[in-house]
Amino acid sequence: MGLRAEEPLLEIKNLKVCFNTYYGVVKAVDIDHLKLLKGETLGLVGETGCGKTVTALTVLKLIPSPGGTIEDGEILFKGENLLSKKEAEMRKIRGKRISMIFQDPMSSLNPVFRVGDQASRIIVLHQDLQEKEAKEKVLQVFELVGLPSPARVFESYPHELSGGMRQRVMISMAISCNPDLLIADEPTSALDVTIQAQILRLLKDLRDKIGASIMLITHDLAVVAQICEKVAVMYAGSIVEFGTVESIFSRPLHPYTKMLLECIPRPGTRGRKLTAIHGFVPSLVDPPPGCRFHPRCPHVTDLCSKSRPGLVDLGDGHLVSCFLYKQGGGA
Amino acid sequence: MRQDWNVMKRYRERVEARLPQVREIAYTWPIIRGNVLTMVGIAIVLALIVLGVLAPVISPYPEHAMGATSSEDKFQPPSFRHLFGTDELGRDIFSRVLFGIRISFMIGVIVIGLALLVGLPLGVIAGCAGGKLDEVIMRVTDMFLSFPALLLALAISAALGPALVNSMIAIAIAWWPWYTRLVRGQAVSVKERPFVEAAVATGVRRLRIIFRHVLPNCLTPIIVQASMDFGSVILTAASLSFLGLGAQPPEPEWGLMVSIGRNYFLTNWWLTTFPGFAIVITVLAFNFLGDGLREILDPRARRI
Amino acid sequence: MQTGDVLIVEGLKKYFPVRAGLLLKTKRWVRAVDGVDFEIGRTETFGLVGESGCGKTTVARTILRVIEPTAGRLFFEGVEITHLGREEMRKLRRDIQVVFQDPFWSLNPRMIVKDIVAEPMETHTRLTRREVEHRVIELLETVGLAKEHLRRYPHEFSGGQRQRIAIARALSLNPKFIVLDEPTSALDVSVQAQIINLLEELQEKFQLTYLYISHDLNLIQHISDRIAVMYLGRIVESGPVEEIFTNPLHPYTQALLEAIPVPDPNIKKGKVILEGGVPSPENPPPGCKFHTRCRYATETCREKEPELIDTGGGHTAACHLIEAQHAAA
Repeated sequence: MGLRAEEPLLEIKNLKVCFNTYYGVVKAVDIDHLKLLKGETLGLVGETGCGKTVTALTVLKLIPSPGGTIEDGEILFKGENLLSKKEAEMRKIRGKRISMIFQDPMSSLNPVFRVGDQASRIIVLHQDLQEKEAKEKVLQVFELVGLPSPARVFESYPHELSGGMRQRVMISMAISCNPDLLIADEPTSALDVTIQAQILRLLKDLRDKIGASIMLITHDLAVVAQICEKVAVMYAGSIVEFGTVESIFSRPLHPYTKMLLECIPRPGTRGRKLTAIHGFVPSLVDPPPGCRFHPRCPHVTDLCSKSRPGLVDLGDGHLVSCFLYKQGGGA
Repeated sequence: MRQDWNVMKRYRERVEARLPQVREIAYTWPIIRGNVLTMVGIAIVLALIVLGVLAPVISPYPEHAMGATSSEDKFQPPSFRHLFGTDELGRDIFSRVLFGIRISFMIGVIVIGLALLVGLPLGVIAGCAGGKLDEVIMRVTDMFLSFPALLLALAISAALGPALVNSMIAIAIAWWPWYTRLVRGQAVSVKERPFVEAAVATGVRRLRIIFRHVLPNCLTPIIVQASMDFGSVILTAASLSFLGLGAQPPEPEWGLMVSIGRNYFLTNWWLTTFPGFAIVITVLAFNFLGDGLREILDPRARRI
Repeated sequence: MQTGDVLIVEGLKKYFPVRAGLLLKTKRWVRAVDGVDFEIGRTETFGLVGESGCGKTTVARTILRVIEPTAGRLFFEGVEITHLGREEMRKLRRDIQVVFQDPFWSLNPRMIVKDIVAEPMETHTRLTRREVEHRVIELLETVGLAKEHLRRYPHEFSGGQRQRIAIARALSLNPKFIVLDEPTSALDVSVQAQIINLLEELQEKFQLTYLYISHDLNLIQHISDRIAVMYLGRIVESGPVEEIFTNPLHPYTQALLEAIPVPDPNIKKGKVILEGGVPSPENPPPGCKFHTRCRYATETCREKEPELIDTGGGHTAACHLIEAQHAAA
């Protein structure tokens, strides 16, 4: 199914995901809408518990059930609603059209199987190739991701490889079937800074080479600034701001985004207090009424505690969910 | 579904303000309540305790448990007068089984208490000290562990002479190594945790670190094991009495009653059967309890 | 060595034995720390930076004497503590405290907050229970917690709050020197900001000296006065933090600074990226430990280990090329 120029590759609408836990019903995700175009790199950014990983898992319908329920919403991938698909159909999509890279490469690779075997499996599964041909393809992809001595890596077990190499293996497994969408969940958080730089460069290269769209999930705004084109900022389950990377970083609108940017230490903050957001992230069992950020917001008004602001478009693709702003621009 | 969660939330709020230890138990109560087997185990154990405590009051013939006999009533089958029938000396078996609860529980508490008293400190010191001390303690432990518990208890019991007290000592001696090994394994990993390092860096004395920091964090598997062991200990004591080495007549100990009843089993089945049932139910109850505790303590640890 | 220095580390080495074989003989040594020297002045914040495996945490643990150094000397307030006996060391431990990285396991899950914060006082002082409790409340309030939190267990708190409790514990004996081993790495960015502000406030208020260990260079430059960059157990560069950030001399420091992304899309990093990974500390490369990844490596670098030389203003670096440059100048 082909895509017209502006039709988004992935579109999330009115998504609500909840979890039943000992403490109550956790309203983990409540997203109005989110769009990802073909070939685009979107950064989904937020702190712990903001719902970014849950959102990614929902796209692949990997939410554990019982326990997690998708209450409402649509996830349109190339026009088809993923949420209405059966498990068997989803299995054809996972790894082939949408694939995922997880945070900790050590626990995502099976320690008792050789790395090459695990990588070939995916190709054999989705592309109907014989094992020998699959192995060829795997070696090709290993080289594409910059692994030194691909043949040797093929024969290795996960624990014999370094963290950076394991992550490259994960990435190669994710792109081996030429997916349309690559979801990367904190792919560099467990890595050292110099290795992180290598992996980020790799992701950029791959994006250019294979043309996949990337949804990068991270808590690190700096990483987003490096490789993403668009950013969606999440707080307590909802998207509070969305726009191009330039526009969000130079002109952050939502109070949370502003404070998040200001509280990161960097050259220039030396010698003064960091702007800290007072208070704590709210419990999602009992989220604050209205705008979930209002108890911590310096610009809070009466309206904020009564109803939830929707995402409004300020005209240039910069969306924000806050009563301070009105549709079409102006405050 | 939602209503349940809201009810639980209000319950939790009520519990918020109380003492920390009470709070902990109260938090876990709903989990416990949801686990059928554990509830059955707890119910039976509590029932046994109540019956045992009230034995002098509720037994129809308490004197039969303390030495009196009644030869005219020999071998009466179960009836309304004698719920479990009477034995070869005319004694009411029901009363003797009730008093037997006291003996069995006493055995369980004393034996496990002694085993923990010896085993835990040895294990935690071995785990924390490492090196030669660890080696020595563990080799001694291994020596004891190389004998099957029952055989060891038997041998010691025989050496000490047939008496209930002696059998308790014997079982305790056979039992302590299990706890030592269990706790040592835990201690080895607990002592690496940052809070232990922090305590060392603060200058806290070694003994205090071992018993205040390491040991309390090793207790989870111990609690599970000890509660399941309660049943096994009672069974072992009953076995010893069965073989003539533990409780001696006229004590109303279940194993002894089963043993004596064996001689008359084909014609008077009730002498053996009821004490036997008592053993089975008690051991099962503690098993359920221990199993349930393991389930509760584990996910709770995850929550922590 | 200045007389005002709180901590002096001289030639510190820590090797861990690797036991293998049937008899568990020591086959190899992991050279976690392989010759480290630095001093920390009064009320200074000294940042120790490096990636995983560089030995910075081991340095901290050796300074605290929770593990014993293999070689080298440690001086605290002029007193040599390298081989100090248990009792004497205990007296000094009042003044040296620590805050660890893991907010989860750095507090005993079976103790209530009051006991956790009170423990140092119970170990070192003879205050009555009432006095101790009073002081605990005072400390909790200083770090931004409240009296209601006294009788709670650690798991009832968030990560940021747990670190506050750890800080309260560290402050309880009015220490002079606190070792902070990645205290905010496990926390969210907004919580981190709160904790950093708190730490700076406390330093000002109580005239504390900090050894701050982290892998986050942005954080280190914000909070430190002087820093040292570690690689495979050795310091490769050290000096005043602004100097190092504006004029990094050692190729590793340069690579590190080049690798950290900044939250500004107009500044794209990654012009020069360090290839390969960190060699294993069990089998470090000969000569300069960094030479395997260094684009300027020469024959000398492969053979001889460079010494730390002072290039002026307290800015030291360990690199043959810098040495040559400096000598020529």
